[in-house]
Amino acid sequence: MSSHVLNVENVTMQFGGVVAVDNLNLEVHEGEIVALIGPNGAGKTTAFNVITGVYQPTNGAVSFLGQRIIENHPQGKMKASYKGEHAGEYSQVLAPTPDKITRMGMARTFQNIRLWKSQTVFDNVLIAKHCRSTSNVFSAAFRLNKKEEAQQRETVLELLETVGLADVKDELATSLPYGKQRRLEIARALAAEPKLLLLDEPAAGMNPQETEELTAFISEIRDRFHLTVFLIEHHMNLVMNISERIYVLDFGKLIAQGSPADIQNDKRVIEAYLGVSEDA
Amino acid sequence: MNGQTSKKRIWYTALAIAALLALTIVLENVLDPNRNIMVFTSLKKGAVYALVAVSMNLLNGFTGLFSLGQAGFMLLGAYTYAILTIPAASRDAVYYIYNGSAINFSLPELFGGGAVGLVLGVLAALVLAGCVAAIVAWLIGLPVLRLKSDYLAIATLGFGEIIRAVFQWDTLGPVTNGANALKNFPTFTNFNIQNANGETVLRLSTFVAFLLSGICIAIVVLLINSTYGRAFKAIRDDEVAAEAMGINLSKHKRLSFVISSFFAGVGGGLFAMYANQAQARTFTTAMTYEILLIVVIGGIGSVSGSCLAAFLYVAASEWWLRFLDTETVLGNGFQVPLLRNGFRMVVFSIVIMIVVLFFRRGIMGDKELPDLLARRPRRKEGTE
Repeated sequence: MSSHVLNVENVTMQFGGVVAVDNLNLEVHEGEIVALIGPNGAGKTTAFNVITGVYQPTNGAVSFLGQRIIENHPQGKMKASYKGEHAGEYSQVLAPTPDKITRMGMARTFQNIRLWKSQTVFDNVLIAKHCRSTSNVFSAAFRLNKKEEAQQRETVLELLETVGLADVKDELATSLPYGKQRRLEIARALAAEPKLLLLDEPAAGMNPQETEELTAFISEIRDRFHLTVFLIEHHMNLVMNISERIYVLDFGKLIAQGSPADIQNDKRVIEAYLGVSEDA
Repeated sequence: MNGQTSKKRIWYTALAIAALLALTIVLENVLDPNRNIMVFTSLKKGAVYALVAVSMNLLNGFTGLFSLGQAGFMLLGAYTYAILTIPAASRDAVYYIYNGSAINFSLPELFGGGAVGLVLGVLAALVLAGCVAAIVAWLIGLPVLRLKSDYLAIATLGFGEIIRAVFQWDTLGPVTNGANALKNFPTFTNFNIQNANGETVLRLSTFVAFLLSGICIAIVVLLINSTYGRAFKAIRDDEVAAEAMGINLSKHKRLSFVISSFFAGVGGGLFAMYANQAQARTFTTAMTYEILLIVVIGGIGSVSGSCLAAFLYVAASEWWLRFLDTETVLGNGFQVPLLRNGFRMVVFSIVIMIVVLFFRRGIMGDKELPDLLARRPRRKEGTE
């Protein structure tokens, strides 16, 4: 269990009568790049939101680095209307807020870019360092944390150089071209010093060349920062090139898992998904 | 964000502020304050409003929490300051309806009286004024900060009204003097230095107002430029992203709310010093709107904009437009039409409307004064 960076156990997410994620089980090992794919509306982003604490699952548990971080069971009205399995197996309620989970070492990007619009590229990354700063509000306001601040600025600069955004560091984040905004969002996530990086459709809206660059970029940062990467993606080129293992969701249910080659030949996946993919 | 230029900029700003403070001393001692009452009234009130506007801007402009409780927190500050500093000897006179005050000490006297006692006592009372406002803010923040945008505004607006009613409550009379004004506490004029004959040798009242308000604004600026200030801006720009990047939303919102209220409380204390009295009925919702207007005119998210707008607003409403209120008859018996009592506010409202129409983002937008003065061309704005 402990070599698993992320372990999702029997997670069901039900909104009213709609089961968005149905009994999801998956694990991500250290240093892996794992992809979660599926047709539109399959529940991929919902699964991400459960893992990062945005939603509280209806039933099930999530462990991170061997430690149980999220757990829930149907409560109140949901008790009667719960449609999933494994009811009654989980008794604890653990629901940390997203910021807490980020501080545990899990950082994410968003499907629709969510940069801080009025801030410069540099500040966008620097703000993400805030969760790692140890100074309290008084020492910060009266500049008693100069050392820490200087060190943060230095690491942010290094990080921007690594991701190739150092030359635009004083630009407004929103003035960057789309591909670079994506890259900046990843850089911002990296600034929070994660062990597990969650990327929600990092190549959405990118042209083939940008996608290719991104593929190389993700592998590169994985090696450089000793990360584990878990990503949602629609671009099959990227997914098949980069990921070591793939999970496929359809209508909230896991329909297949395995290596890219296995997935490409899986009949159910082809039916559900690849049959209508742009590469088919 | 070049280190060298930012250091230079800090020096220039410090120099400019020092020059401004020196100017207030010179002005007050060169101009006759009795002939130029409006000038000094505007300057003092402007300094007080600048602080309160900056405190509101910290919340509304930098953290993105639309709160309208500023007058309530000012009231708390003003009363705390007044109650703690009324000299023991004048208490019976001030609280005559309630046969004396329930609190029978005065901070300036506790600090030994005289000039030292006055300075220390007033400073301590102002800090405590801020603390009372901050503690109350923390308490009401627990339920209220779960609300967003307009709902938060309504809740804080209600809080301001409740506080005002509570302070006028007769049962609290021995402490708050009910609906009556608190008077006779040290004001800005007490800081004028007098010689043995009781003649004023050096006037410092405007200087003291500028200094106290300036120190508080400087602290807010330091905070805004610190890692916490950046976190506040992140919450303003995108709450979801801020939370996903490890910023504890409830903690930071509460922090911003408490700090903003602290300075509103200090501002309330200063307002009492400016007005020579503290009375609950002056701290109405209209006062919050005045301050909101200053923040909007100055630019939401600009500290220097708020300061600038505070002085412009106060000067325009109190001083420059005064002539509109007096009926004027020109030399040949021609009575200037429209000029009569109350016309000032009509013109003032029109001016405000014009400003808001043509400066959508306030006079400063979200820029600071040094940004505009720097010769480096600014990059194009975001689309929103």
